[in-house]
Amino acid sequence: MNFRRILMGMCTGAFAGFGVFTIWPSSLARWNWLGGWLAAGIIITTGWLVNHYAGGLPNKEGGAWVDMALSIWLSALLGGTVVLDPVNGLIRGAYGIFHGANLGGAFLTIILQLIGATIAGYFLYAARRSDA
Amino acid sequence: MWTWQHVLTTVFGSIIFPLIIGLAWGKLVEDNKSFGGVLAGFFIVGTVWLLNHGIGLMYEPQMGGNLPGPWSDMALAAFWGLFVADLLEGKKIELEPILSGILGGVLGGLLLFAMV
Repeated sequence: MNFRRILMGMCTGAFAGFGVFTIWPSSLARWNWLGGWLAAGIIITTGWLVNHYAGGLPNKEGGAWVDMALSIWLSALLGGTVVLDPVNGLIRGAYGIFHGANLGGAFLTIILQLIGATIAGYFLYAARRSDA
Repeated sequence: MWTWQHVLTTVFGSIIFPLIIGLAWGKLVEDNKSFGGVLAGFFIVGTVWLLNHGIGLMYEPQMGGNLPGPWSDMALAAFWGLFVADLLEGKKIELEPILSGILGGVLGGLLLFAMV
């Protein structure tokens, strides 16, 4: 266990998580659905560059891939979202577990997301095996 | 209220996101190096976001009312799908990246909590 690498990964992961849930809702509020599309290029690209291209998140050769998406998902679940609204300025978009929001409300969504993702994981595994 | 239609669209949205990332992201980077990541940001995450959250394949009934949340982002599907694919392949679970990812989420959440 290299704690300095973990602490650095914590910071780069938090950058992606905080960045996504401030820039994305703000861009969406400002430019509607095209803003949502642009937000992906603005923050996901930089998040990926630092976390995965440059290796801020300490993934290892031979280890199961941990995507920065884990940090991103947890950030909104725990801390909600923040919108820089063109009219009202900085406002809260959604509340998180830290605000006392009830996890039960998102429970079915989370379970179904995990089911869908498991199916996709199986597809990818099967495709890679048949290619090899 | 959840209906079977919501189940169908939510599960499909969760399949398509990690699947497209797993199939295409690596190829974009192979072909274009770091610029491949820029293309992937726009054309994979941006475009899938339009379907999953912009249009709303993923049903999030908890977002109504005057205390909306907690938000379960499509990022969960991305992380889990790629993780499962590697586990099936027999790759090991490494504690360092998992701990980094979780702590990053906690710190990111704390920052979002602290903003407004």
